[in-house]
Amino acid sequence: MTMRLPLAVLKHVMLIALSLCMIYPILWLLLGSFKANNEIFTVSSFWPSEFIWSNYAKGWSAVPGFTFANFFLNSMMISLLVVAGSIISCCLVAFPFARMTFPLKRLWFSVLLGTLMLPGQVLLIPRYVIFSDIGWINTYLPLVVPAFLATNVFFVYLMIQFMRGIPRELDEAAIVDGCGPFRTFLLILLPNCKPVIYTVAIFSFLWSWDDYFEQLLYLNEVRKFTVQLALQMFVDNAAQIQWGSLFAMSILSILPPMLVFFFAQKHFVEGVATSGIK
Amino acid sequence: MKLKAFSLSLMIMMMLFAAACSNGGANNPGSVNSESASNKPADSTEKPVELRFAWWGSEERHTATLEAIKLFEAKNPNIKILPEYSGFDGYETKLLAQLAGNAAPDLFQSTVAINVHLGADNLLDLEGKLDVSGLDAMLLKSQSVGDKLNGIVIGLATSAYTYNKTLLDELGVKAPTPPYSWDDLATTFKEVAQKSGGKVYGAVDSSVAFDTFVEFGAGALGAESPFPNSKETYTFTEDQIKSYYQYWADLRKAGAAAPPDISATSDDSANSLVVTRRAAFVPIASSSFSRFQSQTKDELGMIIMPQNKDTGRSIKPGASQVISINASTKHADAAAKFIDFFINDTEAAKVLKTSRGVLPTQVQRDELLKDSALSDGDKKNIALIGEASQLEGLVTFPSPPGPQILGWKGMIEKVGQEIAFDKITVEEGAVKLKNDAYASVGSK
Amino acid sequence: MESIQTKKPTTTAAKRRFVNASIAYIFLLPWLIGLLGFTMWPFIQSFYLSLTQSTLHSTTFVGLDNYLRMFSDERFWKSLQVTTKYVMLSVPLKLAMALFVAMLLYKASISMTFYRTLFYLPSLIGGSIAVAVMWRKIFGLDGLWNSLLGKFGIQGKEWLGQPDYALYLLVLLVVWQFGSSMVIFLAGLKNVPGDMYEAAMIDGAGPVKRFIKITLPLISPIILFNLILQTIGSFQVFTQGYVITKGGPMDETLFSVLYIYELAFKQQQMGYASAISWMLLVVIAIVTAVVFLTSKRWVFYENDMKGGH
Repeated sequence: MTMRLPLAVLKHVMLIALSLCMIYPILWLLLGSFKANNEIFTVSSFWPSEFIWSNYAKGWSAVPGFTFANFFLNSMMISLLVVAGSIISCCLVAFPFARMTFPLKRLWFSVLLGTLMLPGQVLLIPRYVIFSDIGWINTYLPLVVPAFLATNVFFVYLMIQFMRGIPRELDEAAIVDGCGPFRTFLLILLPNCKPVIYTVAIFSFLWSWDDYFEQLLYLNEVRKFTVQLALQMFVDNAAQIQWGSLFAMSILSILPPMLVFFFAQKHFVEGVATSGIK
Repeated sequence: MKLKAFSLSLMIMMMLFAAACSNGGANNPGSVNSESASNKPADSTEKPVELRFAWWGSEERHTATLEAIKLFEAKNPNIKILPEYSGFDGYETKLLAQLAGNAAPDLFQSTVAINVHLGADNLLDLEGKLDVSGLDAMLLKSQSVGDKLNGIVIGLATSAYTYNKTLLDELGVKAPTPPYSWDDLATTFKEVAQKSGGKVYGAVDSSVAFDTFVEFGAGALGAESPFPNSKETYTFTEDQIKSYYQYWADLRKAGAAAPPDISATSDDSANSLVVTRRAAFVPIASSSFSRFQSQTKDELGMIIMPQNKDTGRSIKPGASQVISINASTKHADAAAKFIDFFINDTEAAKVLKTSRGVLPTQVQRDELLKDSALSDGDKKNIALIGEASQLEGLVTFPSPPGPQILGWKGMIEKVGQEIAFDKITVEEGAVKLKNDAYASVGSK
Repeated sequence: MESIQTKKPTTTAAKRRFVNASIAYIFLLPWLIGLLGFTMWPFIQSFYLSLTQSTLHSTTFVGLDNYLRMFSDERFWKSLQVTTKYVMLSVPLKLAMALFVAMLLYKASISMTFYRTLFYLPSLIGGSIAVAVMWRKIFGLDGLWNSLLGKFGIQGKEWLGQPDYALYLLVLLVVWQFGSSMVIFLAGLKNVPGDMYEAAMIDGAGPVKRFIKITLPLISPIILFNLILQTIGSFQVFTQGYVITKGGPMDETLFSVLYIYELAFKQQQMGYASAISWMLLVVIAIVTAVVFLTSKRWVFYENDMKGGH
């Protein structure tokens, strides 16, 4: 696809304008992370009157007894496990919905979507009681194990929808070659699902990284806390809030998911014309 | 090839998973299951008692509390405190879940409102469990429901008005000097609006705030309780509600109180009108004064709330926080010992400072005042509580009567906003609030 | 397992169906375990609670009282109205934005990689406290928005404090965070086979025609997916209202789930909160079912497409 020059220019002008709107608030946050506490909200200048780098150092050790390194490691471990769990379990569960016929398929599919529809807030306490009964409180298990059991139905449905887009001739050919469902799944579907697997990886990483409420409920010891929990510790209902340090750590906290996105994205956009299903 | 690569990565993931499981398992017995560890019959082989203590707060409070815990453990080698500290958001929800799942900490920081949510059944009766002779009797009583003592005050705070002193000086307006009345306050607000040419509001419109409702009710109106205990004993009459909302309606009309859209977005911190210089006065909890000051280069001041013109009636400084003990704790005595240390120990006072508002007992306050390193904000806060505690005509209001009253704050806010946005008149609002109050206690 | 599959001519169709079904259930196993272990019981319990008046320590069975109470609860209706308005505005806007940008960005090149990351950034900060203060600041009295308006001679306002505008600003916030939908569209566009475009180019189809005739039908399953998920998710919107507006002013941003949360955790009315949750589930299920029914008319799966050609 070649584009005529004026069209290409127009496209870039549009993209740059849009980028500015998108990025302005983030820049405000970034510059705010260098401002003095009494300047962020009272002085309307966009640029800091003086760059205060110590906001970062102070923020890094703002939780007594620990540094953010500890929280980053914890978050990283949880998120990577959730990514692994989501990919494995969701690929498995999506396959029969997309490709096989089995009794009660429609019912199960409705149940699958149905579990998305009840607001999680009323499930918080019953779920907490279950995890408490099996002794999982104050461990990472309630945050990680459900991912391996495809509890995040969003990804399952995403997978189903993608697998349905893969031409059936491919698996038919495989079946003719004598492949059973397992090998069809491994040899045909999975390789063709690469874009969506990366999509699931990006989302599951980001969502478990950004999750706050579950982590808050299940983790008690500060040593086990995550980045989001640590960020929340800047905000007390009465004490001083160090906005500069809060912004600084907020900026740092979006780096890991940003890097994940940056490196994963090429897998779902590389050369449209050359890829596709061969 | 691809199959191999996939199965390899699958295996790695499985191993990771297994590692996580065993990791979680390994963490488990050492830390979490202090309960199961302590479940064993007290064969008293000098095994230290472990107590979980949860609180919310900021860096300053965490550091101070952790230090106090160290002190306590040094004095009580057979008791170990496992700290669980966090931010405020979600703290209460977590406690509710923990109580439901039988996994709540032994001791936790709380407030009167939170304790109402948790329910008296979940709180240990502290009557006679520790030395409370240093605490003010009225304060002590404010934590009791019936004969049962649900929590111990660990920090004092009072409602107050903070004002932007720099701004007032520029305008040539003087803040009222206590004792003063609600009418004096209104006069000052109007003066600000007038002298600034309408650019600065006298105050944020706090007709929607429960705390203001309480203060105004006790001070200006002489009402007996902010809560409708029942249809019979409900003490805010329709006329009293009316004069409360009318007071604010008049101020808005004169440009002396901010219009509702601006008041609605004023918050307790960065967006407060006193910080953004939109208004000169904002009501706050005295303990959060330093926080307001830290966000602006202007100098802020703070005064106690107005009193009744004739009787001097006003609300006595109350608890900013309390500590309560989980009713199902296995170690009630050790837990009580910790609270005792918290409120009576002078060395504890030296590390706790004003991290929870003003210290509750005189011995602790005296010890702290010897410390010259106190910040100006802290000194202002201590002085204000001292001043407010010396007044004549102080009253305390009872705790909310039960969970059905928990929507009360929302009702006051809702009616206040409807009036301010001109959806209903002050008269209609008064009738509505009274009916809502009746409904909240009348229907089961 | 797979040895079972090696077909012998004697295998009856029934037996093969049985084997196939067993294999399907083996694939489903992780999800079924999760469903039974962690999801089913909380669901059942919340439904039971919806028939009770319940606090932390006492539960009284009250039958359908909670459901009847909704009819006369003006805040419930208000919250449903606010939520519906939010869904109807935010879902189409967000999807249109995401698809539009994805179309612009799906080519592989360095500059596109840069833009994509840039556009995804806002989605990374989610609903944190930093976003809340930032949004309030931008649409505050002396924020960026008002100074822009001032250049056009328009009088600024405290936008988040306006009952008539606050909801729109929350809509704007989620439209700004269109990154996830964009990513899904990008992944979907990748699966559009290049040869189809080439064929269309030879036929002389322009970019708009190519978009309507080829791209749209081919990614229609992904559009359906995004539509369903965004609809379900938007009906359950919570964070924005919770951290930025607290449901105000005048309940104009009181989303259903925010009301549920307030009832459950601030007012100790777990029973009523559960009842509203189930009512919301019914509403969402109906809307989703309608979308699914209409989707038969506009969603094409690869197989159908190929057949049609």
